[in-house]
Amino acid sequence: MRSYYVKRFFSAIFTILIIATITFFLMRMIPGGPFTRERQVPDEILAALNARYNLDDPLFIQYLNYMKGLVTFDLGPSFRILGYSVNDLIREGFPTSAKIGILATILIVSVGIPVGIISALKQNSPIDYFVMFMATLGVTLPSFVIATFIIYFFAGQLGWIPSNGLNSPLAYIGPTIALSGYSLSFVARLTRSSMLEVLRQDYVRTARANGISEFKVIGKHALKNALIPVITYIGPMIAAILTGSFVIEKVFALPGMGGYFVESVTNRDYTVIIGMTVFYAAFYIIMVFLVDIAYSMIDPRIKLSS
Amino acid sequence: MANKDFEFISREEKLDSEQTRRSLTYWQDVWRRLKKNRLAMIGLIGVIIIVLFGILGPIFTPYKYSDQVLDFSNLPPRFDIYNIADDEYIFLTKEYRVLETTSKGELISRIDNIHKDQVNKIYYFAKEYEVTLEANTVGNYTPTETLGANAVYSTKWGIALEDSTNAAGVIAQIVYIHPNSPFQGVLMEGDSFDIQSNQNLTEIMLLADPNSTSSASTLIEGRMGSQAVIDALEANNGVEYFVVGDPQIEVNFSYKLMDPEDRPAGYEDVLITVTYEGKELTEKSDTVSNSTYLWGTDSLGRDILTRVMYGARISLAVAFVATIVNFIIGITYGSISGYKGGGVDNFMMRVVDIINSIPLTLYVILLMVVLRDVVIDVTLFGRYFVIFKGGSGLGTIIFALGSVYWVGMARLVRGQILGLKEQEYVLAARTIGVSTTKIITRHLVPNAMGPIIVSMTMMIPSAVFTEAFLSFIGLGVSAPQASWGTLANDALSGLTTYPYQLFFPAAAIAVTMLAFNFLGDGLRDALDPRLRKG
Repeated sequence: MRSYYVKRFFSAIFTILIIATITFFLMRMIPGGPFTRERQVPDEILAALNARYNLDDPLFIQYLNYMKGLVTFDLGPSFRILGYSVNDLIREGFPTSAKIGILATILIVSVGIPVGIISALKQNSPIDYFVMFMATLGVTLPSFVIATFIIYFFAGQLGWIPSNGLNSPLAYIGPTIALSGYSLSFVARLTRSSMLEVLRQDYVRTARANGISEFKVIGKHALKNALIPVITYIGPMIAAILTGSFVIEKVFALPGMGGYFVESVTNRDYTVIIGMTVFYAAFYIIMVFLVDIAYSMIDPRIKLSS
Repeated sequence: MANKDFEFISREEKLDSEQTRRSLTYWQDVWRRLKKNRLAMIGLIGVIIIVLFGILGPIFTPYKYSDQVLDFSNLPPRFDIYNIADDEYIFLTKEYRVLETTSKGELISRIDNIHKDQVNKIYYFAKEYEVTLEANTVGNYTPTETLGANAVYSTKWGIALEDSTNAAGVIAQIVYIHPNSPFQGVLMEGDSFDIQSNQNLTEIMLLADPNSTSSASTLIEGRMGSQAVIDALEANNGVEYFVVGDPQIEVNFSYKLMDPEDRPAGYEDVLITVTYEGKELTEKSDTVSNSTYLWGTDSLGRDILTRVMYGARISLAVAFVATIVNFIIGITYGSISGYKGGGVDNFMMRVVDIINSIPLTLYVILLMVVLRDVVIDVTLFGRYFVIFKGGSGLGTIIFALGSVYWVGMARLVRGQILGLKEQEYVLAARTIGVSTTKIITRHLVPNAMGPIIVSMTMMIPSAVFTEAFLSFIGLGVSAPQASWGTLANDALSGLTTYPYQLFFPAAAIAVTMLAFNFLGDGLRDALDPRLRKG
């Protein structure tokens, strides 16, 4: 077991290094550098800028330097935002994204799973139909549509919540709901269908036949197995919620990481792009790793040796 | 009952009475099962409608996706009209423009704002006519009635003027218009004809009502007498247009605070009163559907219906082509990995694992950025070919989506092939010496087609989704092209005032997602009935 974790850990680090490498060379492939502006920059200034950021070194040396920095968690300076390093940007933006992300995750888990279970237990009842209708709607509407709808209706027409920023506790409601909309619906659907499948299993019937209370049958016997596919989804989902927040941050004008990332992409701020990509990827890989561990704890049948 | 009551039947008859049914092929059986699934059929019809909407739709609209009519920008699909005269209706836009419409909601033209009283927030509008005085309308118009002694007549344009006076001084009044004159139907006898002398003659302003409000008279500076007007007209062969009219319509946009109880904090309401020829129009006559632009227009006066239809082309083209690219890469990769097995399989699957552990959205974004500036060109036999040209166009999006999302497909195909390659018919094929390529393409892939098709149907909506997402953060197709994502993005800035601009592209995305999801679910059930869920 432990050797598996160690192996997974090293393979995760290896993956992150590969991602950093691919991203590094991908960004260097782009014609035109971070200092290419509309207005032609004089050659001397360009040379000085390149020297300042070591962009005049041979590509391989640049790569080695970058990797050296990466190992010590130094993602380098931003080329466009003066006086800021990529670490600063992440430090500044990540808490905002994380706050919304965590709230959304809590909402998804605390609403999506119970709703899915209730829907499965009351199969073909009006409640079930209503839940499935809402869930289908949630899966088909892009998050920016949900976000703009919330702004238009709840912030604009009704004036209940602020339409941008995060200055009051109420301001968190809009982004959280918009960010969780798709995943919430998906989790509810997934929980429902996997619960229905589990409820048909023989061991559930056996548990009922043994006279175990319905609450225990559902809560202890059925739920444990029904949640396995849900957990598989939730792990990568948390990372996806972070990337999905690009749109939400744009619509609600939040100072999160997504905004910096999109901005850096349009500005060709190499170090920021690479740094944030590596950060996201690392985050994603860690999440998937945690899911694997959670897996083995819930379902002992899953062997972690393969 | 005796033996003679019975009769031997012929062999043919005996065979005939046996219950037989034509045997169905696998795909016929799938189709039969699919037809029974009502939701899947709704999905299938929905998909067909959306595809037709995209392909045929733009042919039937009179507009192009890039046609701009700035006068008709930001018009909603439904609006309120005021009846100002017998058959004349006006519609007041949210941008304080006045448009002339019919009772059925067809837009005729924009009525020009000729004067603004900024202090009292009163705007005066006058109807605009176009009179094209071109060489071909020049005629030798002989007057059909005798004209007064003081009248000055232009045989070139068929119009007679006479000096008249009003409070402001001498004006030129129209006393006669020839039935065939280009002014016929635009001006009437009795109207006055003023030319702002300091203006370029290609833009002559005609004000029909000299007794109008003081605001209008400020326009009638530098008036010219009849002779001067006729001289100016005669001298000109190519007057482009005239603005004709009077400030018939006054719109008072003065602010009025609402009752404090009725109004949300911080809000004031604008009180708008419309006055036509001094008479206040208190009630709007009707709420009609916009029959010129069924779904309204965007901020540049482009028809939203046409743009959503055009967006369907782009979005669906991206989705279909990206899915096919995924399909090709995924099938090739997956089938090689699955069929070869062993070390090759192991290595190929490690690569897939690594790709799978990357948040792919990021890579699509990165690829979009990289590809935007990439041009692949070659010079072959002295001729120059561009193989791939970046730019924020279709190719870039398709390439980025297609090259990243094949991993799931590869895994699926590999899993199928792993199971299928142990079957006897594969062994038989191998024994008679069929080549590996042929075994994969003729024997293995067709048999794995069921789950592959399901996965492809599911991939299309997610590609539509991703494309919309990319367009929304500004990495999509560039203007004036439009996909559903860019349309939604464009609508964002005017959301509170023009929500319909977002509604239509968003609804198109949602309907497409629903249709493909229903169809995909149905196909999955039809292809493998064992998987059906309760």
